[in-house]
Amino acid sequence: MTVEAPPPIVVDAEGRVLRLGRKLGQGGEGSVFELEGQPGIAAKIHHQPLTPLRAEKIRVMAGMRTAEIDRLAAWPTNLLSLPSGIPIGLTMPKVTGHKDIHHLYSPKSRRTEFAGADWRFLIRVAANLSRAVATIHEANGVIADINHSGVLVNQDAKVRLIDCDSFQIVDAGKTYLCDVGVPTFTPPELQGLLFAEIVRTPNHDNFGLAVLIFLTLFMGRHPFAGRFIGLGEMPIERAIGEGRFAYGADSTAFQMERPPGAPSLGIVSPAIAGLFERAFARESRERGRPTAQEWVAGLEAMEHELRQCAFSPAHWHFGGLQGCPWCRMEAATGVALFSTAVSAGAAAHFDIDAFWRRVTSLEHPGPAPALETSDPKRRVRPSASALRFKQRRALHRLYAVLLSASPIPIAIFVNLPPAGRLLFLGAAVGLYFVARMLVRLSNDTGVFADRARMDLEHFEMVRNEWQASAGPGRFDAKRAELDRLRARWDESRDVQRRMQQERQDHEQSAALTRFLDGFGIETSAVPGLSPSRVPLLASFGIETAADVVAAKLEGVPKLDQQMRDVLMGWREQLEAKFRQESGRGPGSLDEELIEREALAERMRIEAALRTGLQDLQEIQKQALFARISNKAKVEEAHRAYLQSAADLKAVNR
Amino acid sequence: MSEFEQIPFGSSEFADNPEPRCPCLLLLDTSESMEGGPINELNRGLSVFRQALASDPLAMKRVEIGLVTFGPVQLVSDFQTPDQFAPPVLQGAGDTPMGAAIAGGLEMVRQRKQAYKVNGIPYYRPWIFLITDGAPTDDWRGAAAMIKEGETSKGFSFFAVGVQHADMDILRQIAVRTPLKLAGLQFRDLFVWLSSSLSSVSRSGVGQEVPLLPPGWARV
Repeated sequence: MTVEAPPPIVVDAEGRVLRLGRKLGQGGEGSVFELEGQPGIAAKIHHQPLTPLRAEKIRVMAGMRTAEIDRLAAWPTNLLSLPSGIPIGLTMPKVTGHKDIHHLYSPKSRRTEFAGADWRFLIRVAANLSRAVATIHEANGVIADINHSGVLVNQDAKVRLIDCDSFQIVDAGKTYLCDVGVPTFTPPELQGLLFAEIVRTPNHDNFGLAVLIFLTLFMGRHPFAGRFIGLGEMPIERAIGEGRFAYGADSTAFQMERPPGAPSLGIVSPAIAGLFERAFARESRERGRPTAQEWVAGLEAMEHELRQCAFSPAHWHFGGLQGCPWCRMEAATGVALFSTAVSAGAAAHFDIDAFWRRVTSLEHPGPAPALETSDPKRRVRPSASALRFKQRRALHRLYAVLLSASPIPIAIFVNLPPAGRLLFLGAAVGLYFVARMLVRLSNDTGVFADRARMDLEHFEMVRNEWQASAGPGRFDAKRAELDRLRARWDESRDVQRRMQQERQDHEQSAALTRFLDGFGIETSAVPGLSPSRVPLLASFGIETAADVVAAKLEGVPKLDQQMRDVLMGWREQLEAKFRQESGRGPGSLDEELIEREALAERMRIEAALRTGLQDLQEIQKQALFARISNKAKVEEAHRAYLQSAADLKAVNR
Repeated sequence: MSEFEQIPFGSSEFADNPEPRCPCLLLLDTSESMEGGPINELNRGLSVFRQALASDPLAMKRVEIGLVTFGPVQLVSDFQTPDQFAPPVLQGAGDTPMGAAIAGGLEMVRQRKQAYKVNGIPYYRPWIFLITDGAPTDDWRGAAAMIKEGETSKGFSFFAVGVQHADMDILRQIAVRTPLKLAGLQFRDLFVWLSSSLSSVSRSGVGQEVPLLPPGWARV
């Protein structure tokens, strides 16, 4: 950016000389600086001198200040000029300890920038934002350029509006316009228009306000960013213009689906849901969107209807819901929304079948595609150089034959003694061997052999790389790992269930025995049992109600059926009494501990499953990428090898 | 709306960070001729790039870096936000299969856009940044045609940067925008520029045209 070093000295409207200090930040229009010796004040210095109208607007705004406005906005306090008198910027209260609202609404940055902020906090921020906007509207102002970086939030959920010099204000019948705006916060009726020429209204602001509230309550999701089921692109600006609210009751008619993993509009109170529907409906440009005051009232009411999740203390949700939406969302996404770890409640909502469908729906990359060069019908002709080599060698061979045959006519036709003839014939044979050696030496096929060998080695290396990168090997291995994890998950669920059942059965019976043991046959007059029987029973080890079991009674001689029935009836009565008193049964502390451990194990497996799925997607992508970008290279290596092999074959023939 | 309505499984990175995305793909030449000074400067430039982006919290959530090297073609890292991006230490080796790298890179961009759409994530027009010091050793005509098509349909913006002895004539035929020549080995300046350009794009509205800063690192 062509930013000249800012002038270190500026002058305010009263002629006081001020010295700029450290740079605090930079925006599109200008930069913000500290002022030396003025800890509570910041100076915004524009890159370009201000127009007279802009300077006048700042003077007017400085005159409009009230204590209330100062509390919620970094309102301009003074006009700044260069020492030469050219207006260049403004002073405003310095806002410290606040962060951009987008750090609050995205789960990822919320975990670090607003640790511990739960949904109650988010609702409070939304309400405070609405209060701030309502105050500006009451003062006849319009924020006009509402957006994600124009609102700061501190750790107490209080908000401050910044960039106030772009607000639209009215003074003495004169309207000072705002010439900027962010499209994703711009109402449908203003989409695509030139802001510099438009008088903005609170109803325009109310659209941007609703978007910002939606972002805050719905985990950073934009109301018009959904999955478009129709054809073509659906940028947010177009979706806004066409009223395609992705979470609305009519979203299907608008061919919009809420993004996967995002909460539904049902997580807010019906009243707030109604406000969103009204704010984002196309008809509201005439009928009017919910005002900032309406939002304040609705959000305040919802604050009183919140409930804490039974599983996670960090989860607060609208009380009208049966289950906790955040547990469900954490289960669906694996993202910790309000704390550093996913809530244990999420495990209860982890839908293994839905998850597994995602694993199985990931297309197997299949074998690496066949090389075009490996078509067996394809014949590779020897290269020109191989053919030239062959021709030259044939010629050399011919010379060799002619040369070695040259003594033969002498041996036949010249009148020589037999020894002489033999000598010439022998010379022919000798010449033949010499010539053949010469031909071999001067026509070495070793070059072709070396070439073929090197090309083969290169091809094999490239092909192995190709198989590793474009083949299904890594995918299969990762998939097998996921299968093993799935088996472990199933097992852990089964184990957990069985454990629960066994523990219940066991604890139930142990507790029952303890209970029944408390009723001695001798001490508690069993109705219908004569005391004379007691010693007999005791001698067979039947002393308390716990001992009264059919098998034991069978072993007592001289105990008739009627007596047995009396005893059994007594025991049954006591059992009924036990069930009535004990309810769930004792030992619930142990139970919880064990259950928590089992849950932790399952959540570990779930985390591993999620990472595994991501890895699998990555591997699949890598394989497809390798196929696109590396196939030509393997084919080239293969082609080179096939050529040199054909050449070698040709020259060896 | 029913309160029992199921929440479908979604990609966790987008649930965690639903900000609009501004993808930037780097196609980096790592052929033999880059070995030594150029590759060292490039590596330094990449870590400066990461640092520069880290100073802008909004860019940290919106910009996504993908990295493909060629010589040979390799997908070093798929699109991810700068906080996840670990600048690699690249080494020079091999030839310059630029055509294959571009083809692979364009496919990556296509798939990433698909992922944004499926997950309801708004996105800016992707940037593709090719940096090379040579001439392609493979067929690049197909890649050039794809780039032309993508630029016309506003599917992405493709920038080519030549280093040292790069064949600027071929780069002119490959890219629709005029390729730029890096002054000396000023990779550092290039990546600082790239970072602040991406910052201003990610501050703008999706679909808004952002005037580019003059590239101070380019030789005219």
